[in-house]
Amino acid sequence: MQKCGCAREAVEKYGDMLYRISLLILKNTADAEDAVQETFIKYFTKAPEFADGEHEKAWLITVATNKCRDMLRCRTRHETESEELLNTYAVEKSDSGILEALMELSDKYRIIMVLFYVEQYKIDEIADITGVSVSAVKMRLSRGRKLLEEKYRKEYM
Amino acid sequence: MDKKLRNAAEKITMPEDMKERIIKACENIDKTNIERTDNDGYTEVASGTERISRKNNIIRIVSAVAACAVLAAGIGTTGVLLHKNHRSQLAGSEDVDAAESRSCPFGDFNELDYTFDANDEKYGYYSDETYAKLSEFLNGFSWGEEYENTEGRKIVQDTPDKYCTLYWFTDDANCTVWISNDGFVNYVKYVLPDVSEPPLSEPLEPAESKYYMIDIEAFDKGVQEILAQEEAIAAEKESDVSPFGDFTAFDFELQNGTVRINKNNGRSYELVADMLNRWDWGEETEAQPGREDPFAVTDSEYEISWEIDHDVYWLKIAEDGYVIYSGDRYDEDYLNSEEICRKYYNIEVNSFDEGIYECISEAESITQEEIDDLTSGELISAELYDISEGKNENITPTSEGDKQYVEEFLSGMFIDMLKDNIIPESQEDLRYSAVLMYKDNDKTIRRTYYVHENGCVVLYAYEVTAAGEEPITTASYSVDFNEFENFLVKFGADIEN
Repeated sequence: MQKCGCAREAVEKYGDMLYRISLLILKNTADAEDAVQETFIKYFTKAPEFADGEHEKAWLITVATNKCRDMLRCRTRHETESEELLNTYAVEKSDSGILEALMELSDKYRIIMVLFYVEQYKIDEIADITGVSVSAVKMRLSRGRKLLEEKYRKEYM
Repeated sequence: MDKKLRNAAEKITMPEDMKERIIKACENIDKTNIERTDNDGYTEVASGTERISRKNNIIRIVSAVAACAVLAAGIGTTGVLLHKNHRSQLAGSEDVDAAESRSCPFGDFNELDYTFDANDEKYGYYSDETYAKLSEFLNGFSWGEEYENTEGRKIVQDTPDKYCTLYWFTDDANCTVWISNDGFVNYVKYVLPDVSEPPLSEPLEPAESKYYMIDIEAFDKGVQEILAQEEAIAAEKESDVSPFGDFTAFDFELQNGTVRINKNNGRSYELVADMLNRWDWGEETEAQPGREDPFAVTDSEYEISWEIDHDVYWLKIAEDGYVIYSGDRYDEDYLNSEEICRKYYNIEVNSFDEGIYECISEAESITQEEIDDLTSGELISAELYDISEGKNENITPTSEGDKQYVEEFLSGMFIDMLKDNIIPESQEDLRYSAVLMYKDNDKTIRRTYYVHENGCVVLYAYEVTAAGEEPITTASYSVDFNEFENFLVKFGADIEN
């Protein structure tokens, strides 16, 4: 058990980032909330000692993305409906296209794209966080980027 | 586009009320954390948490689960949800009681939807293949007779000597097996309280508890062998790259006499890159006499080239399947170069050829997912109209047999004939419209395909409501127009006028 008493500080510091990642992966606000909440619960009960802030951040992202992946797996098995993100979340209209296009990518591309383009992690860091190889991250980035461009230009421009 | 994506995403922030709920949930961990020491000196540590959620019924469910978790697990609610998310086919789960007669005292692990937490910080996140092997191992493992003299020893979770934890849920129970480093096994089952009841104030007592002493060395050996394969499985899944590197990461160009594929070819390029990665290039071979030099091979069936930071690579595949892979490092001005690699392979060139053409063909076809979308719902009617020269004439055959043929063609084969390569739309070429009506749950959907003589097909889909029609989507495809008309004639449509 660690870090109790600073829940507010941690949620204020990392909440938006974890929520953003979870929402973009899960496409559902309720599931994203679950993922973030469980990530923080694990943070306050099971987190190891962190070397520095970056280590802490990466640990949180790893836990959150693992949770998201499990939820997606669960969703596949149970046919849970994902909601229209923009119906429940106020994103400016000018931004909606690119996010909608991102939402249409398959999960494996979306996770990598979010970490690279949104959270600006390097490829080797993404490999560490997601547990896939560097070449697989490159491959997914490359393909994901092409697919995103294609979808965005075709459907939203 | 990258910046646009980032800017758009960065505007997503967590709503304040959600933030407060999460903070409250985290703060409650402190309040519900319980430590107590058994008489025998073993320490029970459990982390429970009140889960603050959007829905009242969820609060009740999780409060009940958390009440169990107070006693039942260091995994606490985290474990509960981890499990829920991990392998959640509860319907297929089997209660332990029903399976007591089997050799494994906890049930058939092939049927149980369990999580195996090996205390390795992976929290049971293993592949399905690994779980299949674990199930086989756990089912076949000798758990021995139930161990009655526990000398007061009970739960071993969250103690330093914990080896692993297995846990699963049935419709009404939470079952956990703890195994300590010395082979002491404790199985406990908690029957979950009815969620319609108020949350319990007192921790639940186990409905069932069993103890075993196993050969931990044998158990560990079996488990470690399986978990070691997990890394190999993961590596295998991700290592679909060729001996020349990952073609999906290269900016390559492939050409032969009739085909030229580069990154401008979109889906064909991706499919070919995948194929090149997966292709069995075989073992490296010796150079054939007189064909050592890449430029000496003049009968190349295929040439594939790519560049990485002034290193230019070539794969030349000759008609007889002889392959030369070579690389040259160029200077800044590309005036001088030195060879950096050269290798030789032999492949079956006809299969390679077929593979390339399959990629091209597949890239042009619409995906099964798209076909499913286009045919979703129950077909109500399919009608064909001649809309050339401003006409709007229903030319669906009137005889029952032919009408059915045309309906089946338009709703089935025609959709399969659609291709992704888009041809410019031209009003002068407009020739037919196929109007397909579907019932999708409580919605009525109209999908109208406008077929042009140049092969262009444009879809407009609408939801038909009492108030009118709401557009749903539009998409462009192409079709072999002659083939389309041939089928119409064959199925009895009068298209001669």
